[in-house]
Amino acid sequence: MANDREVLREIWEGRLPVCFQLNSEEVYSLQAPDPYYLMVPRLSYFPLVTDKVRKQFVRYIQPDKQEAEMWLDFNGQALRWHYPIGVLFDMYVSDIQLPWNITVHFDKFPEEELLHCPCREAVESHFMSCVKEADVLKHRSQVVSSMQKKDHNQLWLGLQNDKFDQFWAVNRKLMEASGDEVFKYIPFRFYCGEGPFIQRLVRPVTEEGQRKTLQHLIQEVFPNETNRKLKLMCHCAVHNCKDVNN
Amino acid sequence: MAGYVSWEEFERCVTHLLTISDRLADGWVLHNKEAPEAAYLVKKVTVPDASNKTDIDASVLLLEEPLDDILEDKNVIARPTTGALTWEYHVLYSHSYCVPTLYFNAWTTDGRLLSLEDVWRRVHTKFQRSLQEDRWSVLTQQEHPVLRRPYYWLHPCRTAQILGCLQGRSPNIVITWLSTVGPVVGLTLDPQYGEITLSE
Repeated sequence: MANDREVLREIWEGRLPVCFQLNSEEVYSLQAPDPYYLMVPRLSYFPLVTDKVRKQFVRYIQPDKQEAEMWLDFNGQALRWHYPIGVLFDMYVSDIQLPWNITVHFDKFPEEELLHCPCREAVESHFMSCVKEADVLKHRSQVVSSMQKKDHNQLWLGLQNDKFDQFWAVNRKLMEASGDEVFKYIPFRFYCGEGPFIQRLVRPVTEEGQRKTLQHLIQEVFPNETNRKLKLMCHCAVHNCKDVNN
Repeated sequence: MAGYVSWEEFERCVTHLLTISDRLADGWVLHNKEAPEAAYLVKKVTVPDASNKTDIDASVLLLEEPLDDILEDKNVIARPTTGALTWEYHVLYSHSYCVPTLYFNAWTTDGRLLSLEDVWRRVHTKFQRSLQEDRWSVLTQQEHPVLRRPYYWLHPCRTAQILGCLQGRSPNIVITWLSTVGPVVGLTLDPQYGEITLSE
């Protein structure tokens, strides 16, 4: 898996055009600011790429809101910053026209819906806990716990600064089979609307020793659904495969 | 393997915990029963806020009045500090880690959710030192896997290690675990849980 360098790079370089607009109700200056356009990496997280958006819009809002936490919505739905940008895009893709129009807020933070993101450490902590959980599933946590702090930092900085080589030098270890054994379980999550997400323990090989495909995984998790009824968006953010399947 | 708890074991322990809770009228309730392997325990308690001194509303102190006047005015200082906190604890099973996990939220009486900083500050003094070493990998906000809403969450990465030391010595590993990690965030289990478990 870790040998498909070109594919990995293509996925890493996936970008989405986004048009950020300040919520019109929060405009305090005489003139509303122009929209702000960015190409954002699919594999990144919004708080890592929106510093400039904040800087641009903060001058146009009420002075007493300028220290407030910024949050984003699409079509009235608050965007969960702790999902990779590509996952969020795929969740709402049927309603999205490019560029993706996102509204920027500084007021009325929806505390019931969104995790707070007071600083980059919050993103790092979330990212690392996802990496750890995935490693628990793949290698019973043996790889992450054998890594040094500097490896963790390199992985995180690679993602944060969009450095493919830096990231993959460490992530490679997380994606290798330990000895002859392939992964213990496949790390995945199915998001179906706003309901609970679905996670199961699924082994990567069948009882006959054959490697499982995405098809196997879907059949195992949704045994009663036929493929035609399922519209599936697949995005393994940390583990780099993206695939759209109707 | 040492420290891991199977779903079946978790379910057995939780059922047992619920019967004790009913007997003691302790308030634990099972949620999400219908979903396969996703039921979880919930308990809500309102308790006096032990560390509310740090909560004095900054705006009160910014008033252009002598501090003594403010401090003497009981109405001013009483408002933000006479607090009780409502805690809601959730015990969920993590299929990835194969251990129980603790989620919770805490609100002041006027309905304000405690911030992460507030929660860190309220972590039991005995655990403050280990918290300060690496608080971002110990206790953070996380999406509740069932409710999909923000809850505070004690990271489960070392739970299996802790349980490994306790397993085999405890007839109910969930009770043992909960009475070990609960106090970190203000959740104490009545000692009768232990007594009843051992006497059975």
